[in-house]
Amino acid sequence: METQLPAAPAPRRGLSPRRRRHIISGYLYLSPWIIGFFLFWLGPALASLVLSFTTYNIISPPTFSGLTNYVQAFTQDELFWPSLLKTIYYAGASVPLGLIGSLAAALLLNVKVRGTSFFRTLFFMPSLIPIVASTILWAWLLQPDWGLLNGFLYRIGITGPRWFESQEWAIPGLVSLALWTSVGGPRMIIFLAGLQGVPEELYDAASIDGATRLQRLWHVTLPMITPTIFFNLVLGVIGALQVFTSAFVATQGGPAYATWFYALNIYYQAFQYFNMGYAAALAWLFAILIVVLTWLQLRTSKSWVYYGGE
Amino acid sequence: MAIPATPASLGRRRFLGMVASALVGSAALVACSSQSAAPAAGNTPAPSSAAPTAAAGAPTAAATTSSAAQPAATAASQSNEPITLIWDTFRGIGTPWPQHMIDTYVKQFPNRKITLRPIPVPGGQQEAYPKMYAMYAAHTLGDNIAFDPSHWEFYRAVPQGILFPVDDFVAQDKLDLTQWFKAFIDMQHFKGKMWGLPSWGWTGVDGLHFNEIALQEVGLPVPDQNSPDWTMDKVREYADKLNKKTGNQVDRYGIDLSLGAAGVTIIARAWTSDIISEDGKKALLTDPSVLPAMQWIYDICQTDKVDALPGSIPSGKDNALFSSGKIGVLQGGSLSVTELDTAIKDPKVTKLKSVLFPKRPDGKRPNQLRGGTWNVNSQSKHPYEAWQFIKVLSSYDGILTFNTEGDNGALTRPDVLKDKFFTQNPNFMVFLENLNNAILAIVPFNAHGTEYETTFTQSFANVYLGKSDFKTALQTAQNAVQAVLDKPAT
Repeated sequence: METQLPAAPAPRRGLSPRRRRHIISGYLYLSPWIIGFFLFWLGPALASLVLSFTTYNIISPPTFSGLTNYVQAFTQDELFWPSLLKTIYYAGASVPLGLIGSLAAALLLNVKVRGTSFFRTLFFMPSLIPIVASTILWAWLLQPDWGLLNGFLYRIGITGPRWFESQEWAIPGLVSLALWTSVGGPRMIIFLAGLQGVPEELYDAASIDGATRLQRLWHVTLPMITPTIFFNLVLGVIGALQVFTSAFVATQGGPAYATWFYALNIYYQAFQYFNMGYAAALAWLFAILIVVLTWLQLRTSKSWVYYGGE
Repeated sequence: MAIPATPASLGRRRFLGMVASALVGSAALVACSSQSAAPAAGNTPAPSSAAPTAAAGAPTAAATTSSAAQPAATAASQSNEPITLIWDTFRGIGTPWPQHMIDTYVKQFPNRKITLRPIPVPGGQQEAYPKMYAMYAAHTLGDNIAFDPSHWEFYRAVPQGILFPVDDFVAQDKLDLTQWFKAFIDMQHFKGKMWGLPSWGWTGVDGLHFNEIALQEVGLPVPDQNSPDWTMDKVREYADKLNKKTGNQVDRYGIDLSLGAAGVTIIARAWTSDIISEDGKKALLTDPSVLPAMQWIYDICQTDKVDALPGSIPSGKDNALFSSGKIGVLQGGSLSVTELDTAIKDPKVTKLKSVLFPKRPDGKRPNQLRGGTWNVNSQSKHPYEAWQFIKVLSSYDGILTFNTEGDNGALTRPDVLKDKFFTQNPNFMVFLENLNNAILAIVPFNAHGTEYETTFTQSFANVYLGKSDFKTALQTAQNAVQAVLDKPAT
């Protein structure tokens, strides 16, 4: 028996003028963003990649130096590893505390009581203050001798830390500032949205089964909002690793390099010492680190993030 | 009743039209800007020779162009050909001073115009330099510029061929250089040539600003700076007595020392030493001649614990705290006088009395000249006309109004200091002695000035914070600073 071959598909006709117009229109609508992307993001990013293999001081043309900048980072720059470790320390402290704080605030503000909108606004307000202003404000609050915080501690018989004057307390001081500005910010709003997406019937079922409030939180709420936690975690880690402004304003990397974060090292190399090629190499190493960390988070997410549809 | 017009809806066709117009407009703008930039590069002999040669011998290249460009420029001005200069500056911005200067110049040369292009520096003056370097590389930097010696960029800009040497102009105009303090003119010289005229300037953080109210409170007289009893030990004693505590809480810091490179240099110079060797190649932090100075700082910070350590005061807020009576004595210079006068709101809390550091055995007082410059861009099409503008900026009127209108501290001309703006303020006049006996800053020979200062500030913190023993901390700082000085020249 002869096998009947399926009929060959009709040759693809050219796009109709109407369809072509649609496509062109679409691209034209997109063009401001496409142009912006190429001109202000991809172009400079690729340029910095090329520059990372050169010696470049802005004034003279870049000269190719191969992997010298990358080798220098690992072997000669005495601030490379310390700045990286300090950045990881900062992120390690600020991200978990920030996530817990934001989630706690969201849980509180998700309770249906009178004036919820007012409280939500109140919590959100610190995140609206420009980071430079809030940093200066916190530099005064944490002033070791007359600052509000140490003043309060002194009244209850505790000698407060020296904060930005101290090598040990400078990073915790910056973490406090970060928490103040971020706990009630967009992260909390995202958690609130996540919490409101948890089906009521799950709570009802758990209540009928006799679950306590804490058990409902642990066995219903948290598993159901793991995608939100994951989202906030990824963005939180990326944001924390890029810490710059607060350290630049409050401590200028000091005292004794105590807050010399990675981004600050890049800034000084690029815009103070004009080692642009080296700064570009540092930036690319950092970009790779962030990509790896994000990839690791994505990999591990399969074991703890629950997507309802799966 | 008139019916309000219905707002036209933004249809697809209309939107696309707008996008297309915007793209055409942008393209036209880009084309125009490249056209306007091109002559600046093309008409100037300097950039083609100066820019590519960079570190190798750019000043020589620029110097060669000076003689070539000058007659042409002079001829242009004589022919009354309209000329427009571009002035890129971050100084005096937001004050009436730049326009005052432009008006003065245009009054002298009616056929000329000056376009002022302010350089925004929200994060500090140092931010201006990368922008100016980038503009220079793109051949869009203005005719009149400033690469200040005390920001160290002068010493980078000269070898890179960015500045136009002005020796020929000085000779041609028979300019009397004695109208400025000698030290500020010395500061305009580098690699055997003169590169500009003085702008701002003072003798560094060479003074001690006492709060007279605090002195009265502790029963101390204002120190007599001419008394043989006025010694560094006495300064320490004053700081100790002015310190006020309740339990563990400080009510008033005895002293607020300037613990960056500029401030520590003054203290080292009080012992007739320095923190860097004269050739700018060696860090001297552990040198026996400077050890007493380092020990003095350590003792004030850690033994007496009477200093307002960096980090205890929000950055740049020292004046505010001094004016509110929280600091007994503040290390600062003549520049701080105006700032403190403005900051002091209640004379019952703070009254300013400025005193110089004690005299050294050689009769001089420790100081370190700090100052700026007005320069001509080596790429300028009109270097002579630009030079004539910097003469206006650095003239008696230019410097006086730089102080009175421009919110800057410019003590670069002796004649200006005779103005009542200064004479009516006895705290200013205290600094006159050091202006006449100014000691220049020592420049890191490899032009890594900013890195040198930053490294010093960070590593010296280990010394005054007392985290490790004094000698180890000092050696660590010495090694860190020396590592910067050992880098190849930029």
